[in-house]
Amino acid sequence: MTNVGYIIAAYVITLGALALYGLHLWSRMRSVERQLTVLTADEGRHYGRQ
Amino acid sequence: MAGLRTVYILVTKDLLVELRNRETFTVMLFFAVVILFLFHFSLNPERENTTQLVPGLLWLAFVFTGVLGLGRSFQAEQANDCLEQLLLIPGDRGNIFLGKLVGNVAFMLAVELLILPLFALFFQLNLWDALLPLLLVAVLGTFGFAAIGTLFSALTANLRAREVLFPLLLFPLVVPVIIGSVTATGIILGGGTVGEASGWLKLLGAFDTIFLVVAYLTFEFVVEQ
Amino acid sequence: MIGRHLANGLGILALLAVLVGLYMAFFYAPADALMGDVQRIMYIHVPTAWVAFFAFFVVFVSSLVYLWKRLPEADRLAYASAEIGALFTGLTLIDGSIWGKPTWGIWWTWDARLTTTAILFVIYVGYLMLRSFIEEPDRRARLAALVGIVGFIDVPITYMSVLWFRTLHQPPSIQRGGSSMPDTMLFTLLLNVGAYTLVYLFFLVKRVRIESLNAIAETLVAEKAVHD
Repeated sequence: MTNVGYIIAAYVITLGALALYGLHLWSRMRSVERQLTVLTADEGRHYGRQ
Repeated sequence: MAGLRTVYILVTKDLLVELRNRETFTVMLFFAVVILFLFHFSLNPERENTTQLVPGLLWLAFVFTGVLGLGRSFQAEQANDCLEQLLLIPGDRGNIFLGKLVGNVAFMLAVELLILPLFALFFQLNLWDALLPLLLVAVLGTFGFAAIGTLFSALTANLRAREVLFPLLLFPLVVPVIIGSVTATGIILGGGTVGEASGWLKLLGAFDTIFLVVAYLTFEFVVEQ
Repeated sequence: MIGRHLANGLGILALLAVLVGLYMAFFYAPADALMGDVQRIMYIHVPTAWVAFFAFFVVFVSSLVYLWKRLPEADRLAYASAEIGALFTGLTLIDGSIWGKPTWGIWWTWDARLTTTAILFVIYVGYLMLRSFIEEPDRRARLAALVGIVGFIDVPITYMSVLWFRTLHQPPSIQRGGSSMPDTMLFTLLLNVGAYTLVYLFFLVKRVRIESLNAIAETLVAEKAVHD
């Protein structure tokens, strides 16, 4: 591998990993927000019944 | 001083329990023998630099045996809910830590004192000339190792994966002790005086002091209910 | 608590900073006199190393705050910073290794910095594994805080002992980026450090928010169970 290859590998790996982690966080955020929407909608129904 | 009395009670309790059934001590001793056997067979006998490896191997034996003993130091308390009883003793929780620490150091040193002649036998070494300085290094290194070891043993005592978590958490933190102890032992076994090893002994002393204080102060958070 | 739009703004700022940093790393900064273009890895390796250790400092402080005040927010901050810190530490090790091969011919060396980083990584992993084995939130937060505190105190001691060990066994031959750096390089480096710190802060804010929302969700689930 030429020297340029090393630099590119390092940057790609690092930036790629950071981007993947960002995506991971985004998907976790969406899933917990969805879960909360469901839960609070349920809550509304519950209180309504009483 | 009430604190010292707590420490004294704990140490004598642990020593008496151990003297009565010698469980932990025996296990540690035979484990050490097994390790020494493994060392012999995993090293090429034609190797020229065995003397260079000796300090490291010695401390590996101490460390692996020590992890075994330390890991069990709070198990006995757990079995009979003794820990709750201990916590009822008025005064600083840190004294419980000190009591446990002194007991652990005593056990480890006792085993190490038996490992040394075995080591000398298996590796054909003369340790007599350097015995006192060696013991000094052993005490300093064991003390630092046991300080963090006792704290983390209490920390991991009730956990499912204790056997794995305890060494995993302990080993990275005791690297300075290992470095200091092995290097100092190497200097002494190579014919150096205590003076020549003094830099490393000071590192060990500093480490011991820092972690003694840190562990003493944080122990109450480990055992709070 | 940082508002959602502010957090997203932080993310955009971080992205811009990273892009500017990349441009500067490759086009603005000159090639190193001795090492050539390979040395440009420094502009991502040093920032990730800085974040790795800074994140652990954040773990340390929030762990102290937790033990003192028992605020769940402090525990969430510690956990988030540990997770992100572990990521950055792993990347630092990878980048350092990739830098080492063309520069000094070896994939790994036991110099003080790399060794301490490797140990930091193991401490992070231990912290995260400990957390994963404890179910009760209070106990988990308390024990994790202890590991965070004791671990952090240990890191500088480890660094010094490895450094000392190295001077004994090997003369210090590897000098990375001394202060005799031309201004353009220094500026590029500082900008990249700032950029990746922003990335860390953005991730941190989002990660903490995820934990808070998780906690709320758990409370709601528990309440539902009582009602039903």
